Amino acid sequence: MSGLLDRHRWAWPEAMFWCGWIAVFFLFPDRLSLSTQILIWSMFALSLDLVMGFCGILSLGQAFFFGVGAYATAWTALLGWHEPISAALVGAAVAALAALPLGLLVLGLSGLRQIMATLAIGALGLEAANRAAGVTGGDDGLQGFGFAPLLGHFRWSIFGQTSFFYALTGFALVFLLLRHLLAAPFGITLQGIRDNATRMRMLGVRVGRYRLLAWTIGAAIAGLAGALGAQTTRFVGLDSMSLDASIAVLVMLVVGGTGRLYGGPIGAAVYMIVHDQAANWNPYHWMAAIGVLLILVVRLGRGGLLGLMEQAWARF
Amino acid sequence: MLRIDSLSGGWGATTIIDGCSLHLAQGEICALLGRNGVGKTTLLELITGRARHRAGGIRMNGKNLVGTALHVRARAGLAHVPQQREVFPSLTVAENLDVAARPGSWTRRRLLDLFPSLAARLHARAAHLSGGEQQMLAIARALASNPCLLLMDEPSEGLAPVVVEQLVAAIRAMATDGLTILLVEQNFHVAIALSDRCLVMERGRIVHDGPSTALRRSPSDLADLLFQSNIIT
Repeated sequence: MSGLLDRHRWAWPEAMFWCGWIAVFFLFPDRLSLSTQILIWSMFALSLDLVMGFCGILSLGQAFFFGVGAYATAWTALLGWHEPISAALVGAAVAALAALPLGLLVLGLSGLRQIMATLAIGALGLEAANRAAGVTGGDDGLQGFGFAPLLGHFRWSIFGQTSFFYALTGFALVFLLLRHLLAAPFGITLQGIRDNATRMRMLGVRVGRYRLLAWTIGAAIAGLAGALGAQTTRFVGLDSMSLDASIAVLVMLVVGGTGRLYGGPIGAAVYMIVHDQAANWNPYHWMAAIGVLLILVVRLGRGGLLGLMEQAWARF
Repeated sequence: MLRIDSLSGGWGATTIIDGCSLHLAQGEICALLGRNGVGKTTLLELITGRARHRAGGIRMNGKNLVGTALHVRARAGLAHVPQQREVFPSLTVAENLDVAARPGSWTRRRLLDLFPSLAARLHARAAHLSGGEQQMLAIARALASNPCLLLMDEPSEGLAPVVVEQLVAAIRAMATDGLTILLVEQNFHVAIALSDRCLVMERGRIVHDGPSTALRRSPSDLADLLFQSNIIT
């Protein structure tokens, strides 16, 4: 279990995690749509983990970048560019561009003021998207766009195989990138900033630049997740940048464990499976099951489910 | 090397340092003594830039530090070992050293030679170190930035005598490298034994400035300096 928490070395529990995703394809062929959504939200949770878990920036507006990436990718197709990978990268780039000026606004703040500023970004962004119905489709959302076969060969079938492997590959690449980044001097510095930003400044580090870079990379990853969501569902609605989405990804991260890379993906999987099962049981009150899960995890120990697994492993 | 002229400042609206002046020569170890609450830590924090500056000058190697950002002072060659150590708890010992590292003679290998107990715990998280090891790490981290002036705030506080001995040996080794050190220390024996010069503070000002050798020979003079309330040099 300690291998899941080690920044520098790979360990066997990680192989289990990745093999598990391959196994999902064969064991649950009729649940590929849900699995694809879990992968996309796992990527989204990684973006928040970078910003909040590793850099200490408190954000309640991360879904804004998810939505921006989704709308930008949808519009890429609507404007006639149908190559899916480059269209997804356009979504990530637009989200990163949107993050830069907002980062200058948010990152000078701390604590509650920072949370409120990110909340305001999310709320204003959602309202702007609602008003700009000509661009976003308003309440009806954007639809009627599609993408060319992946790599010119794999068609987007209704069974979801292409979407699943597309999302899995995207998630794995983002994960590898973040893992590499966080074990490199850049990532170590971010974690030092999270521990004690003032002490970092007193060691000569330009904390603001590091935070802005982490914030922008986090937004790009959130935008990429949104882009993949748009491509695999062929729909973008206002809910993609809603406060509910920001809160959901935060809950996923807290349930899985912040600042641990695997915490977000594990939290996303648990959240969405509980959501799926609870919604079957009661489509109106599924949030109660999530609430109970969240309370249990935060009451039982620090570090979310990964922290609990770590404690159990230490006793074993 | 360091020149402070009529410096005043403190925390929030409270002025603690009031018209303080001192200078340090290159390679000098200077002990700053005084009773609790006279402003020793605040003086160090005014030099680092964390405390609020009100008036007066701070120059290091001729460069004016007043009004400059914390990271600018650090890059100018200023390093600080705080009283609470403030190591980065989630980083390993090696990572704590690496985030501070700048080019110079204090390489990681040399630091680990100076603090062998850290070498044995290089991949342990700083949160899991003992108090003594954390203190060694805080000093090593400051040295990793290859400073020209090191401010140390009560480095021996709360440490076992055997660890204090290791610390004294390490500071002596640092001094042979030509590093200028301003040392705030409650353990007067350690301070007097290590320093070339001794400053005594009272109510935010320096009230005694003299060679440590004299106080080493006559500890009673030191007691008089520290516990008389109206000290004028």
